[in-house]
Amino acid sequence: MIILYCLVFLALLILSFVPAIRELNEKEDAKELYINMDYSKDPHYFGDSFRRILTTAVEKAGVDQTISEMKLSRNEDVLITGTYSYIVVNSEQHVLLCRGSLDIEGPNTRNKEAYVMGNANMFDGSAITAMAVDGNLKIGKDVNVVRWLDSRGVITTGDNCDLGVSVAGKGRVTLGKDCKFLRIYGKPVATREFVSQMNFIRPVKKQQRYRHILGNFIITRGVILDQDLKIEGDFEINTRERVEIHGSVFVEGSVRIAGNVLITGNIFSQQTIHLSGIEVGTPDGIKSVIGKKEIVLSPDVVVHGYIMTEGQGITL
Amino acid sequence: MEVDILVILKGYAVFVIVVSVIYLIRHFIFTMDRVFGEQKMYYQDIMESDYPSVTVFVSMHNEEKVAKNVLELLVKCDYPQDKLSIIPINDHSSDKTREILDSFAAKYPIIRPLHRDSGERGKAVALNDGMALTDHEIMMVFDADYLPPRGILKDIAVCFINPEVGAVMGRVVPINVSTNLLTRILDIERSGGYQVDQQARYNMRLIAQYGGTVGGFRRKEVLALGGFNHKSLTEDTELTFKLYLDGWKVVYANRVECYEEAPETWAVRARQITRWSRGHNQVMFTYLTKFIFCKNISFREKVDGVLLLFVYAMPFVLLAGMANSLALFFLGESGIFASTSIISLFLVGCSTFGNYAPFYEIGLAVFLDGATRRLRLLPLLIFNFFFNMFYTSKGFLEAFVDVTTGRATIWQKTERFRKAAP
Repeated sequence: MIILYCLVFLALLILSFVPAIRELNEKEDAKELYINMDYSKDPHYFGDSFRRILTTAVEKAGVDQTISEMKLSRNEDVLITGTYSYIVVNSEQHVLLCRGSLDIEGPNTRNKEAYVMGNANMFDGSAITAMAVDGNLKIGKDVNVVRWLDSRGVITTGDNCDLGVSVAGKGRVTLGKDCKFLRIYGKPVATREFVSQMNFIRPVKKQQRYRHILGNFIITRGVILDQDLKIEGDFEINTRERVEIHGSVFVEGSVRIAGNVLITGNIFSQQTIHLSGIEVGTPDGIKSVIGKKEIVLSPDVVVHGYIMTEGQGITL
Repeated sequence: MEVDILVILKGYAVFVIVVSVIYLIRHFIFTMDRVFGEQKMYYQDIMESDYPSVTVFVSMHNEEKVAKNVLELLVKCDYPQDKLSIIPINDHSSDKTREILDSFAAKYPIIRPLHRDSGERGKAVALNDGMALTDHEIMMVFDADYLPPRGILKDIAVCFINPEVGAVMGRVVPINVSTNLLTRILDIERSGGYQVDQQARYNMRLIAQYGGTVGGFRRKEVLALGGFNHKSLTEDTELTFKLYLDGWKVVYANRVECYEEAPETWAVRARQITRWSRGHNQVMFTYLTKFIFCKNISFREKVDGVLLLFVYAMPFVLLAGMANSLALFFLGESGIFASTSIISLFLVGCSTFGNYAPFYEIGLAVFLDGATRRLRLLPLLIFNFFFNMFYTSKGFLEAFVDVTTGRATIWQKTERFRKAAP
């Protein structure tokens, strides 16, 4: 009986190693984890990649002003237009390469990806998967973007738009009210009523040591701080007097800023960010506003650079 | 007298079970944090035009097999060239490392090799010499066998915009996974260590650990702390604790990934793990008291830091515990938990083989990495467990002798296995 128990024990012991030995021999999952060795942080990554893939495919296919099937990330029908202005009502079936300008009609139209070499207008109520524009991009109200928009000019949006995953402009990006977003890059990104007070900046020498606040930090009157801030609690600015922070602000809690504020560095929060009456960064540089759970922008906000949230971004 | 020995043996058995269960709970909490906890954001999403000036060090002792790869990749990085210099440190090499570095220096002005032909050898002293050659703000370190991606320098540097960060650690990913049993085990062990353990500690604001490669630190601040200790075999661990003692934080960046070459022979792995254990335990003996009584560190950081300091002492504690249980068995006294036998069996069973890189941490890590078939390798960790236990215990004893006698330590480089450029 003891021998039987021993044999059963040994069999069960060996059994646990069988899948491991099989994996060792067959190497079904023995490839190194993937790292993108060419990854480089670039707000225009989507747009530039799409332009490159599409133009390369069109060149390779050697076709012009027609609908042709070609290999992009998968086989797609591509409609190529001439340099004239083109009006599209629905391009749900094909990718669009527009050599001139493009108007996308609405409402209730659906469109796949488009590359526009001129300017582009999206009329009220239209929708698109993604669009790269070499010129300026104007978006009406109630427009729906599924993935991304990229422009080498300026971008202006109407109200109540869903701006998808990413919006990137080489020039100014102006947002209407009630727009939803996750990532926006622009030089600058502004909500519609912003007036810059950047000419009031005085030269400052940033202090070496940062200021570490263990709890909440609330500013209720005008002040100029020449240092970075690390705040373990929430951060609030609530005054009509001028507040200038010449440095970056890192906050473990939430950020709520309302007033007449300049922050020349970045704002980073592990929670939520509500901004009103503020200019972030300077015109000659790029700075970021990063809020993990939510970013809410009032009509008088400008950010010279990048806004990003993993949760929900919205303009008021 | 006999009774006294039995009390000691039984007391030690209880001690081993208690500390094993403490570590078991610690790793369980880390695992649950990665499954259900709120994941803290790292700073790589920050876009910034004003990056700090950076010097990258690559310490090299006879690295002709790998030197070319790491330098080729570093010069391709997208960091602003006017703010970057690369200092490969030729540390007493007798192969063609010098020639390789000089040829790169002739081609790329940002590469400024440091040839160390005399004096003490070792990474700590090499980094100290390197820091004397630059006035840049941020120092980054890569081992010679590493393959840094194009955007990695920016992703590390951007973290230092946070003013409380003293050092940053990225994630190490083995590239030679499929070579043999050892590399496959090391691969999943690395996954557990970074994907779950380090990330959870970062999430929970505990002690994230600077690992001495794929990372960086502030030059002025580290120099103010006395630079690197020449006697230390794990200058990275020592820097972690020095920074925390001085009020700085270490940040772990899970998305800042870099390939490394894992040891391919058990002999090389044995030397590596012994060195890590010896160095880590030197740090434990030196910094334990200072850390416990430091005012710059929160209570939860202290608890985690103390457990972290003892991580490389635990295998010795367990090894002695196993010997202890055998002694109790042959003395006929193994029934010390008769009244709570089921509980004790559960506790011992759970913690005996899982203390070093526990199964569930590794299991979750490979799942998060999307490499679920690697889960089948988990039973093989038992071999690594005993292997690590022996050599980690050896390192612990060597560290004990180092600290008590003040003897000098000699740096031993990990052998490379690369045959051709990947």
